[in-house]
Amino acid sequence: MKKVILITGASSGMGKETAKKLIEEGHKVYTAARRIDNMADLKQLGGLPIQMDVTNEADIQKVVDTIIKYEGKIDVLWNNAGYGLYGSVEDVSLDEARKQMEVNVFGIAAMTQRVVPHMRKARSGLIINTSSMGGKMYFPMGAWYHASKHAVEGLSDCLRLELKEFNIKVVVLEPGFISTEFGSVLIDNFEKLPKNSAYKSMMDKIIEGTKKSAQGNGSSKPSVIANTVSKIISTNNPKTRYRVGKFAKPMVWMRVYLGDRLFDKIVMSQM
Amino acid sequence: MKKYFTLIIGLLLLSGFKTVAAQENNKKVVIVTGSASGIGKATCELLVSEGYIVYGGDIQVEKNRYLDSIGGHSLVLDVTKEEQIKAGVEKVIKEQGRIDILYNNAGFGIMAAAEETTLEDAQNLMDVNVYGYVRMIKAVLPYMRQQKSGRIINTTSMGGKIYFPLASWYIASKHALEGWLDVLRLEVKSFGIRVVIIEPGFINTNFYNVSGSYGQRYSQNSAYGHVFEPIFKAKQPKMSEPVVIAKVVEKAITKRHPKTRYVKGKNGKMLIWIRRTFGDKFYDRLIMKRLK
Repeated sequence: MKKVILITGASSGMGKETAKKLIEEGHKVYTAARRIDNMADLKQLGGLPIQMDVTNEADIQKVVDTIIKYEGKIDVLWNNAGYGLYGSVEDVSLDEARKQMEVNVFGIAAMTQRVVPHMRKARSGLIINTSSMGGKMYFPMGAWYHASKHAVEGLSDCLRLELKEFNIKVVVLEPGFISTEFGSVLIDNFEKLPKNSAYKSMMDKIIEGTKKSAQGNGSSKPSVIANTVSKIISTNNPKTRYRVGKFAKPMVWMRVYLGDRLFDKIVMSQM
Repeated sequence: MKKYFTLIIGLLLLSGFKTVAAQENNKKVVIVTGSASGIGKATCELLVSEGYIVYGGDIQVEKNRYLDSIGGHSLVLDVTKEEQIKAGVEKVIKEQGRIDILYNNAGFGIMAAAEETTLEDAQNLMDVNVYGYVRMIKAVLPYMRQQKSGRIINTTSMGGKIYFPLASWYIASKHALEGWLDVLRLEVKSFGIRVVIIEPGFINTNFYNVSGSYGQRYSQNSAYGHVFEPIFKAKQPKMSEPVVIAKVVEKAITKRHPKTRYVKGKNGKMLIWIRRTFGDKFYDRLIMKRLK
């Protein structure tokens, strides 16, 4: 069945790759992102690119109104826009931290607030929130990224309980290592941090590790996510969480069942 | 016979060391946030009675004065105000020369549907529950790093691991803290600083009144009346007294190797276990059935 789908953060990485697949499957796919120029290829394929910043409530309202005007409904909202802010707790300023939370957490909340009224009216809908394996475990230097993704996990769980009555499903997507722009954004982050940081040696090790995993076989292709999202959309009774991509399952498993102390040791030994 | 003698002498020596250690512990300098009521107050009372040097900060300035009369020190402290935090920490350093323990505890909840909670209210909650902890930690870390010792103890909640309807932003804030503090633990370990998370269950404090007063407001003209209604009607859950958590805080201070997490208080352990063992869908049904 053809569905009206709205994807945020669709100008690159997992969002774009998935949008292509969903367009190919014949869905009406509205792809939203700040960088509209980066979505020309999606338009050519039959997608409907639309400029939007998830931290701008007026933008969001406009996009939702537009879709409702043309389609009369939104079947699927995939909250996928997000990025990783890296740096030690002591070095990262509260302003940068706030920005991370604005995009990764409040962005999802704002989108959801605008779309849910229409889904409630239709008594049907699906909301997919991109979290991360990092919403269930952690790496050093990623405090705010992990805080934001942990928050998305909890927020989505509450939403699922509250929206069930209206036949709106909420699914959490927890990707592992996926080859996207994520790594290069992370390294750019580090380069902005103070050079005399008390955490310099730890930072250097992480940059090295990120570069290595970007070159090597340490990450899955975004198509893994595209297939998963397509599956979530087509199934009647989706799971509450989908953990996919390199190392997501074993990493989260270790964290949950080996305990914090052992997990700490394993993570730090990887540096 | 000789064996027993050595054993007894050994035990005597050990207990001797213990008393000395205890005396040293009792002179430790502790800062507590949210000290005017609930868990914070119970903790301050316990620690003062054990001889610790306790500074307690709160926005409820008058209510917080009890500290001065029992031998502690009250601070005027809004954890959303950078300058008050700076002044408080500097006062402690000036008077004591060190900060051994920071106990982050100030926080609150909002009862409302996720869809209907204004982002402004959500921001305010995050400002206290998450950024408030972070501001305090950032203020004490340089001193603790210099000392090459210190403990940062934090109240999160069983809500950092599980969830309830109409509590989305509280749950989000506590989940966020859990992840944030895990990373902090990794980063400051090499400086001799320990990070401990305390996850209280249902505790008999003012928490439910504050969050409930938001609920009264947000339930007006709400599309989620069917969720509010049973919660308003439901019997209060079984609760533990705040002193139960105060004792855990003391344990986290005194243990040579504190755990990374302590789950304590009515039904926290059980609920977390149920969710982890039986999965989200089972947990969802259980929680929603209790509200029917």
